[in-house]
Amino acid sequence: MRKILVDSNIFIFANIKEYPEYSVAKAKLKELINNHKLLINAIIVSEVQYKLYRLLGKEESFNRTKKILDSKHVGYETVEQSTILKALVFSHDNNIRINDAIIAAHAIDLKVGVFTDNTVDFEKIPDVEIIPLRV
Amino acid sequence: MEEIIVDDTYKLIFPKKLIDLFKIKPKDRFDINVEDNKIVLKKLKRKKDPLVELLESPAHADPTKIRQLNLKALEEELWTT
Repeated sequence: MRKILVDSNIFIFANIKEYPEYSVAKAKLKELINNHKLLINAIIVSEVQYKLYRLLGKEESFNRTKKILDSKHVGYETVEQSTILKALVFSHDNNIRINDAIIAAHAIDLKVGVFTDNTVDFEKIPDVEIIPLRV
Repeated sequence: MEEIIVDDTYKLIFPKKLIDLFKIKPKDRFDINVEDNKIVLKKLKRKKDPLVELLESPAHADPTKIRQLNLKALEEELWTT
């Protein structure tokens, strides 16, 4: 089974029907779970929880974030110190926020692509395989 | 009636006829009860995966709120304040 790191915005789009990207994000995730393990890390979980909290409130955010973590299609990966150090360099050299730099460095270290809608920031980092939401 | 035998680890193998009739698959769950000295098995509905369940029942947010709280701004708020 292949693996892919899924950025937080994808989960947000797939969770809220009023987003114009809802249908495409949902369809793509449903397609991916047939032959991929969806990977997440602490940064992605924090962003999903916070964005859902601000958009839907405390309870809905808790329930939906937990469902993502409980899914057999989703795998949680810890971020090693060496990955954080790599991310620090990416953030410094490419002028991107540390959260995106950690996700990019983690994808490189795990040898997987990043499924994201934020192609602009990830494109600044060499060697990151980007799987864009919009093609 | 068909006879089945309990193995050394107390497992039972369903006869093929029952597997086909009740569409039994590995990891299916059963409710087990004793009624009038009989063991009664009731096949439970398969639980949907939480992610699939979530994708099939999206939440609703006020479109105005979605426009006001754009995701880039929320990320900015989370990581820089």
